[in-house]
Amino acid sequence: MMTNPALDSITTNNQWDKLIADYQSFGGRINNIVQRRGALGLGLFPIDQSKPIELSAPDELLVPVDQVKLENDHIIIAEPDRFPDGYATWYKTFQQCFSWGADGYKSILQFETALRTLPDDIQNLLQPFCNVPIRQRLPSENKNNIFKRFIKTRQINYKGKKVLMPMIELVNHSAFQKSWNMNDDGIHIKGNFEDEILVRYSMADPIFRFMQYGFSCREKTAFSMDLQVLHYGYKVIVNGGVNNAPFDPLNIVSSGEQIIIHSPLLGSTANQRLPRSLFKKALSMVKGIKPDELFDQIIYINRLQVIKILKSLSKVNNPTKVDLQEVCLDQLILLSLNS
Amino acid sequence: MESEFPFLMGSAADWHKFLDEFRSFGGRAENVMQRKGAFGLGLFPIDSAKPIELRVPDQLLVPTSNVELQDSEIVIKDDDNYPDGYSDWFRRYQSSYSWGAEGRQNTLTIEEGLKALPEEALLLLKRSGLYNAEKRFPEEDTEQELLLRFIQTRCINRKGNRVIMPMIELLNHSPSADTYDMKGDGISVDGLYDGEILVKYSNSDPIRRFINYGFNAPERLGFSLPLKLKHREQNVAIRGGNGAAPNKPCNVEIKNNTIIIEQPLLASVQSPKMPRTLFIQGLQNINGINANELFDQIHQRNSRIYIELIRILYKVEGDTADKLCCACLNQLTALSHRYGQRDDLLNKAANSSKID
Repeated sequence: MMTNPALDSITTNNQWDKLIADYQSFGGRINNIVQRRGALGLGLFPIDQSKPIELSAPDELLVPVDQVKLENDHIIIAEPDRFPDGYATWYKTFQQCFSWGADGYKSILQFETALRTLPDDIQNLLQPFCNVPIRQRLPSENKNNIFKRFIKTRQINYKGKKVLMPMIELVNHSAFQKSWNMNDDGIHIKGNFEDEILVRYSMADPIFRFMQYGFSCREKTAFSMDLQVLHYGYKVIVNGGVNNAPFDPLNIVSSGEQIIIHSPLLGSTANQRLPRSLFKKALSMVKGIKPDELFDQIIYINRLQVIKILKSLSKVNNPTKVDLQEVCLDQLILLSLNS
Repeated sequence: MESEFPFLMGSAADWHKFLDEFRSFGGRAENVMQRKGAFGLGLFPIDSAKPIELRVPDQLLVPTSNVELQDSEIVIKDDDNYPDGYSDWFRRYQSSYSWGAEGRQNTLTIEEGLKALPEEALLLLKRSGLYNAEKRFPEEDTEQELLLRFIQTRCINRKGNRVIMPMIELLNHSPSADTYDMKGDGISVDGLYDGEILVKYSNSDPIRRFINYGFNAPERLGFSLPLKLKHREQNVAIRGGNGAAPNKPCNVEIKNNTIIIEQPLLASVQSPKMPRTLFIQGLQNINGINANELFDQIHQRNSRIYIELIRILYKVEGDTADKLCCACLNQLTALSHRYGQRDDLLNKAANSSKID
């Protein structure tokens, strides 16, 4: 999320108007939208709330992540010929003035630096929620490393490729909104918005969202961290993390005395009975276990880990402290939504 | 010459003289000294290789109704039933080693700290039945209120009376320690101790230990807050608090179309399968409810309230807010200790219910 104070009065900024006009000339659509500061920092808002907004990034304007590179501190398109004439220049300006250059670089650096200065015990406690250890996320403050992290926070899977979405990436996230509409033509947001235009970036829970994007946010689901637990003679390995299809049957692999469970849903605001019932259904085929009890054990381990993070945070002074506390409390609430 | 007990309140000679007097009345206090430790003033073995012994015979226990403040000292009101000189010893004991040593000041600090919490926190504590500043510390008669609070943290139920146990009340609490031995004549504590002599005061959970005693301890049980909730179209009221018999199924009754559940045990570090088992047992004869789901509902509501309180306390600076926050986190930790159920006990209960 961008927080460039210079862009507060963006409605009067010729640069924004030109950016939109040029974007439309390439086939992008942006109607009834203004950029300004809101509760979540800079975001996009309807100009007239009584009318629908439209924001579209057509297929040909989506930029595969392997097509962007960092050159002289600017994000540029590596092979401009693959895009409409002039688009690479427009994209460079967009990144420099409204995304990477506006705040993207700085916010990533600040967040990663803050994470790396968390005491070792907290980093270790967070580890089971991360794919990569905190110290390895940003091996150095080299701009290229920061660029890689930046891309990870902006990319989306589209037609089997990871792509960046110009303009649409300026929209902030809310778990309580719809996601982008993706079809063969591109990626779109349409509809009426009373206030800020928000989309659900992806399925996540508070801790995973925070570790991925660096902000705290109410979410509708909770997933497990990585853990192992003994259960009636079985070694149960839970591969934690976000399940992008959380309401589908759970993926488990049972072999001998080992059970591997992939990304179980542990809590849901939408349907509190679903996490446990999905879990029980998936594990009902395994003999000699008690699925209800195993589900409780997984919740128990997750809860204790989150509470330990909260206890350790009380002793530290770190720029992420307040957000991380909020995130952990939100996670705890979600972990209880599983009657 | 250096003191034998460098942290002792008063001299070693005074302490030994005091203990000699206590013994002369029939009490026992062997191999113990008072000094400051991790929990403030407490009792320690003089020689940790040897057992300690503390015993207060019944005749030296003082009913709480028989003490009062006189010139800022705790004294026995009616000393007819005590040995000669005991009431004077008790007054000096309270003054030098208990109320006067740290007790009054600690009580004042706790009460002032709680009362100074922000309105938002006080309202939530009141709504949750945990703390009501107006009732507990109205400051209309401050010394009397402090005395009452102090006594509540020091007394114990003995043969239907609430009594103060001189000497033994100086012991600090640990949830993992043994409790007092109350089998014979009086109350006693004995055995070998490497460090501080600790006893388990009572069954409690972390939040109530803090609210009632003013210190944090990793208690091993979790009880519910008082709650009213809807469960499958039925009204359910939970009477919160420490259950007197946490290892038995909770009592349940139906009044005015409301299912009333008495002080359910929600979590146990030692026996995490028991809370749900006892809950289901307690509710097995109640129609129209799903005990498993209701148990989870109660947990959910409890967690939400503590999380709400923590969010409020995070915005507050101060020792009491920090300690209360720690108590809430300890409570959430305690409440996490519940998984599975004892099918053997539930099957047995179900079978006996069928036979009945």
